[in-house]
Amino acid sequence: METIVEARELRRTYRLDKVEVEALRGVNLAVAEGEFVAIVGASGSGKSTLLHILGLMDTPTSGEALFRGRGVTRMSDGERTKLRLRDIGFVFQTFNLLPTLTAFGNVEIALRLAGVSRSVRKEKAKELLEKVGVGHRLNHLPRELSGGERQRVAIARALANSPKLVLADEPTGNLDSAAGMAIAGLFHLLNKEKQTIMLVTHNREMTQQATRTLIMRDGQITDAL
Amino acid sequence: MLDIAFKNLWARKTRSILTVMGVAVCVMLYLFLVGTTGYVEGNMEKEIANYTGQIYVKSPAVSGLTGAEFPPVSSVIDSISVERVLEETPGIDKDKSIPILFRTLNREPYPGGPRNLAVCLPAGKEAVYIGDTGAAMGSNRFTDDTSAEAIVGKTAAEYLKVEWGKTISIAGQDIPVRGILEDTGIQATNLTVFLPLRYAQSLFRQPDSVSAVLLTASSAGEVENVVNAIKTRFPKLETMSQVEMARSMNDMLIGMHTFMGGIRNMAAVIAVVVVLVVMFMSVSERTREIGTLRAIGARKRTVLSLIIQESFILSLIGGVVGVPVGYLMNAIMYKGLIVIEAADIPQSIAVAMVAGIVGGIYPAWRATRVNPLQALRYE
Repeated sequence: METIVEARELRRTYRLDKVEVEALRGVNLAVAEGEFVAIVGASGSGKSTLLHILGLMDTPTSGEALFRGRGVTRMSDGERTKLRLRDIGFVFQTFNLLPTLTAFGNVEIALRLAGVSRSVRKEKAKELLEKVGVGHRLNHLPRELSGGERQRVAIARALANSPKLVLADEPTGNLDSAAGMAIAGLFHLLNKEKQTIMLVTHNREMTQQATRTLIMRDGQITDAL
Repeated sequence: MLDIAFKNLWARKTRSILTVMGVAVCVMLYLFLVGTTGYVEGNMEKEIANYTGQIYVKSPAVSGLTGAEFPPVSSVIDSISVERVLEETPGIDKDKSIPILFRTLNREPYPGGPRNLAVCLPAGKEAVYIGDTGAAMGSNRFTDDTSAEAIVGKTAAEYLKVEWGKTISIAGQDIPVRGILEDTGIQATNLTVFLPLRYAQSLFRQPDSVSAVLLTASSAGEVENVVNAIKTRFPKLETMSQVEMARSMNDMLIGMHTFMGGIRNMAAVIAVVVVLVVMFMSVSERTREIGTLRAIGARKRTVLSLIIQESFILSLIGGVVGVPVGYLMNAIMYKGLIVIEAADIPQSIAVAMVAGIVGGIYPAWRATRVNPLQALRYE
């Protein structure tokens, strides 16, 4: 299986006022195509920082992150943006849907940014929203949807451009347990369809669906289940 | 992304409407000032052409201001001097040379702007000043020199709400309106209320003097000789020929230009600032949304174009709304005293469009600087 994403000795240091915080302290990791990797760990252990670096939204202080064998650390903003658009789907804990667009519009915009034609966009956005179970809420604005529905729309958006990798940062963190279980089921379903997934979670359901669970502590991966 | 720009603006309706109103007011003001300046300038040539072969004889300027004064409203010449000028000046057509008394009826709306004048002419010689201008209603000639009656220019009648057959109040007297002149397109007649000279001298308690003598040279080639003769024979008086009238008008226009140009440019700057402030606030409030767009793969130039499109739409709507409001304001406030030309409209809308782009550039640039990760953490 091809390695989709890889971390080599990743370090990330933040400066909070005058204090230096080491969020990552030499993380090594490889995620192969078709894997479902869950990362668990206490708050502040560096899970989200790792995900943001691998999702090309942040850069490491040292070390290298590779996406399908290409070093991404020194890529230009344009190259990183292009990879985020076409090869990586990101699901956020707080959904981050665009409030002025409907559920359909939120998925369609990802396709539009990739230059997909109008007819294909329309068809694919509807198909994705139906797939994640909100096909009946196409024309609703985010504020008219429940938390679980919003996260489903966000997942549909992340899948819009058929990414090689879906990253999710505590996707059930803002949901009740029933909605959380449903989202966990959805990720399981996607993985069954060979979608590579890497997510940060505290949800037991989610870790049970994962093919591999990594435990992070103090900026390092300390264990694997 | 134009549809998304519209949706973003629609989602913030109140702010969008207020911005459109702000830009519309600026455009309205701009249009109004451009129209006014153009109208006054356009009229100048017609006014000057009206005085071909004529010379005003007036008292010397008492201040720097009266030197640029046209018509010479503050000038005063006594009756004896008037008689001597008319009798002793060679090279003039005596039948077409007359004493004139000017009085200002109201203040000009801005420096050098139009104002209503009372122009008092000897009965029977009205044509020396008004030419062949006919009457739209009533008569264009006085009954005699002492009758209390007024002939009113077209625009003055509208502005002062004067009707033929009724009266006009001047210096506390209700004077019957004998006629209303047809539209000449020239301020010298359109904005004027004409009174018989003798009656006016008594009305304004100035029985032994007038403002100026309007001489008509017997031929165009005689103008210079007439001017020289006045200088020699009447050293205490000044002349104002067509060239000098043009110079005086130009002097007045400089003041008007500075004033109007200043306000006009200010209107354009305010439009830019309105757009800039609103879009800046909008970008700040939408940091998280912009971050989301960047996080899901929107390029910097996509974000840049989205913000500029939004500011452009707001300004364009403001421009389109501002034009009819400008017309309406002119109609209500100045009763058609100032004519806004159709040619001024594209310029005013262009100002709004430029304001939209210029005002949107900085907020749009700020939006492209949004780091997706920091933006997503932004509350």
